[in-house]
Parts: sequence; C-alpha cells; structure tokens
Amino acid sequence: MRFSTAARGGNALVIVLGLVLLLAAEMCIVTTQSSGSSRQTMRSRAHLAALRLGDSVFSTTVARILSKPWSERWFLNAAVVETDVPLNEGTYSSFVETVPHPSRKMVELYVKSLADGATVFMVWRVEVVDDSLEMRAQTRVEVFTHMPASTGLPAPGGANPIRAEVDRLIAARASHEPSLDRFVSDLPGLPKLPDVARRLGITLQTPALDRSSPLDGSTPVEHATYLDLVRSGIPSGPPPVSAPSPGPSPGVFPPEATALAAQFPNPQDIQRAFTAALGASGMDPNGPDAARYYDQLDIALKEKEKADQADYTAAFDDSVSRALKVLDELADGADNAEKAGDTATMEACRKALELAKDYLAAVTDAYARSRGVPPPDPATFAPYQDATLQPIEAHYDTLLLGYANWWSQQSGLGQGAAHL
Amino acid sequence: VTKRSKAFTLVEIVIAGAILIIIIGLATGLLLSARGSTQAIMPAFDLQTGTRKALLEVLQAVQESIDVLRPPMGCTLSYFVVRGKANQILLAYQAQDSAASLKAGIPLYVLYLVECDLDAPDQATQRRLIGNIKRLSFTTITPGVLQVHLDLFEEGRTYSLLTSVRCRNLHVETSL
Repeated sequence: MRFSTAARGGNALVIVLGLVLLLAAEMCIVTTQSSGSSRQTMRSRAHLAALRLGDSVFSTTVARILSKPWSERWFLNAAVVETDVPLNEGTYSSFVETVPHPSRKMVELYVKSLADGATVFMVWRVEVVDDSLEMRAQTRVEVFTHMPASTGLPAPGGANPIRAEVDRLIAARASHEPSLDRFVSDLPGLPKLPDVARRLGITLQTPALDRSSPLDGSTPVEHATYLDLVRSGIPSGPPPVSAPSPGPSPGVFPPEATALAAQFPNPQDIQRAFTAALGASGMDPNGPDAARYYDQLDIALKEKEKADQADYTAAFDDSVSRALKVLDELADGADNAEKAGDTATMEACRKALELAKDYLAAVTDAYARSRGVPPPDPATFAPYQDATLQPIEAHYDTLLLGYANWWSQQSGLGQGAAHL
Repeated sequence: VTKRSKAFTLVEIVIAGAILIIIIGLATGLLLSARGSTQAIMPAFDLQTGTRKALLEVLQAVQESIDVLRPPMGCTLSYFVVRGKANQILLAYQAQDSAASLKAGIPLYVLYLVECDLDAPDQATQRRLIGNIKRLSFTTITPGVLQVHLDLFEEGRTYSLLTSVRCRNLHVETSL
C-alpha cells in the first residue's frame, strides 16, 4: 500500500528539522538560565579574589619599603608604575610614589588588581615611621579608599588626579572633625537608636528595630587562654590556673521591666503567640487585625528586651563580685608561687592578673558611662596597684587594644569578650 | 522502468510521527523539569546574590571608615555607627518589613544605610540595602573591627553569613 500526495516535497524531514531546532533552542534557554546563576556566583568569588590580591600587593610593597633605609627606596626619584604583573591567579598594576611632606615620610600606593574578570582599585596613603621600635607602628595608613574600577593609574611624572582626590578627602576629614568629635562626646548620653537619629537630625524608617543582644555568658571560660598569651615570654611554659567564670558582661541600657514581659518568659513564646494571632487573622495583609498584631508583637518584644536588660543589670553586680574573686585568686596564685620560688607561675599569674584587671576596669567604666553614672571608684582596684601594675596604667589604652586583638583571635567569634 | 514514487509510505509517516512524539515528550519533560528547578532555586539564589552584593557594600563602607563608634567594644547591637573616611557618620539600622513579615509569618527586617555629614545634616542619604533579614547583629571586637552576623530567611529556610571587617583608616597608637 502506498500513501502519496500530489505535492511531495519531503515535508516530514522539514518538520523533524524544525523540531530539532526548537529543541536546541529550548536547551539553549535552560543552559543560559543555569549559566547565569553560575556567573553570579563566580563574579562574587572573583571580586573577593581581586580584593585579596590587592591586599597581598599592599603587604608586599610595605614590606619592601621597610626592608631598606628610606633614602634607598626604589621610588626615591620618581613614581614607579608596574603593569599587568602576574600574581597567583590574577594580575595587578601598581603605582607608588613619595608624597612631598616637610617632616613625615609619606607614600602614595595605588593597586589595581584583576582576578577572573573582576577589577578592584585600592588606594592607600601610608606614613612610614621606620624608626619606631614597635613593628606594627612602622607604617600608618593615613587614607585607605576604593576608587572606581575604571580609574586608570597615573603616568609617572604626569598629573595625578588620585592624589588630589586623597588630599581633598583629608581636607574634608579635617573640616568635619570638630562636629564629629562633638557628636562622639554626646554619644554616651544617647542610649537608644532613636536618640542617635534625633541627634543626627535624620528620620528613621519605622518601625525601626532597636534591640540589644547581650552577649551570651553561658560559654565556659578557659582561663588557660590568659596564660597562652604570655606563654611566649616564659621559657618553661606556665602551668594552668583554674579560676571560676565571673559570668556575662552586662547590657548597656537602663533596666525596666513590666508585667507584659512576664507573660512571655522567652522570645519563642512571643513568637508563637504572634504566629497564632496572625493565623487567626487569616494572614491577610489588608486585614484589620494584622497591623494590631504587629503592634502587639513590637510591644511584647520591646518589653522582653527590657526584662532581659533588667536581668543583665541584676547580674552585673554578681558578675563584678565574681570577677573580683578571680582577681583575688590570681593574686594569691602569684604570691604563693613567689613564696615557692616558682618564677614561671608567678609571672604568668601576674600577667593574667594585669589583663583581667584591665578588662574589668573597661567593662565597669563602659557600663557606668552608658548609665550616666560616675565611673567606679579606682579604690576598687587598690589592692592590685602594686609596683608591677603601675607602669601598665600609663599605657592602659594600648594594652586594652592589644588584648582585645588577641582576644578576638583566640575566640574566633568574639564571644570571649563577654567573659573575664 | 516504472518511475519510483517520491511519496512516503504510511509506515514511514507513522514511525516518524512516533519518534517525533517521543522526542517532543522528552524535550518538554526536560524543559518543564528545568524550569521547575530554576524557579524553585532562583528566588533564594537571587536573595543570596543580592544580599552578598549589598553586604559587600556595607563591609566596604566599614572598611573605608576610621573607627566604630557603636556598639561599644565587646557589645552586640542591631545597628552600628561608624566614623566614615571623611569624618562623616555612617549609620546602619533595621526597620521592620511588614509585607515580608506577613508573607513569612515571622518578623523580618530591612537594613538601611544612612550617610550623614554632620555639617550638612539635611543632605543625609538613606538607602535600603538588604531585605528578608531574620537576624542581623553587629559586634565590636576592637575599636576597628566589626563582626557582622546575618541570618536571611527565604522560603522557610535560613541562610547565615558571618564575617568580620576591619576599619583600614583606623589610627592605632601602638608606641609603648
């Protein structure tokens, strides 16, 4: 049996080819959608890679500057430009030149790094303090800023619009400093976000969230970490000191508890009540109840926050008394070790004592300032004002900063800052 | 010799039609499956991608700043105030997103970034940066290091991002 038409033009083949083309087009659409997602991810990753590459160039350049006397720097006579230098899996271009200054040694460094198609342009003005005995203070960043990736590096010996921009930034910084310093001095008296906004003269979007999350004090404290800090300075390595945790540091807002908060012993209860209420209202964004439930939720959360603050305030005195107990134990440990002739333990205890005392003083001071009351009486720490500690007082801020840096490294998440 | 007909036989047509139906069926199934997967993933992906970009913007603003003014060191707050690179104020805070909260059934927030020159407060700019925030907290680890903990909520799932950023214009006096 034969099936034939009058016009026999190979229609089936054309149809098949057309459908295959359609199929290919569909596949292209799917592939494009998938690759768009991948491209976004790769772009984020490339941006971070470019940032890291730029940082590497900065570190390398600073190390190179410090490796030779200032008078022998390689860009002594003219700016030095490097272009398209391969580094790791990207490339960078850099510009380095001396910034004329009557008394300070200033360097302008621009790095344009390129990694996986992402470009980052970073600008530093660095002061070199090569006669400082403190390694970390041998360079000081005067200005760091990002520039648009399309910005080109200046030509050596030519006009340098970026330096003009940095100068403008420094001038703006200087002119804004008095008003900002006034704001900073007012800041301790502005306990809540709306107070800060009012002082700044800005209007917040509402309802603004102003929730302080007191640091969790439930993590046990490992007091050996104090000794880890000073271990490098003690040849034999110090023995561990066992001391109780003084508990969490307090919140910084004034206490106030109400009956409403007592109805909700924990935030999950508030959440459940809220969700149930919303469910009862039919989850209608236009429903009359929704706004009211949101208001109720806001009130409940705020009251719970106040209750939490009250709890933390109540815990504060206890925290301080336990902290003082730790100080006592460390002081006793130092005395006993001295009597026993154990120099390593004695030194370890004394250094731990110094650090612990500093932190306690900082916490109590911050707490007092936040509540608008006078700072704690220095006599509180009188038993520890011995000859060893007095020189430390003179460099209190430096010590505290160094300690905080160390602490953040040790704890990883900064949670350790909640503890003594 | 009889001239051979150029027409297709019915069997050829039927077989070709069957093959076409199978191919179209497979292709349609594949396409629908791909579209379904993409539609399921894209909102979450867009949210994460958009958030990463916005977060980078926040982190870059902090990176270019001089120091963190609030939270006080060692404390955690839902907002931060930093001294900008030109001694201006950068304030990041959260406000409730009622529409997103209603949709999700839990309170969700939006992060706003305010840049304010204290000498010209009327020129302050305020931008919406990140939405669908379940929790966003800022902890000052040192006067120049801010830790950011962000929980995003989307389609019943929570995505967490944790990072620290250092103020690179911080003036540290380390001489002893």
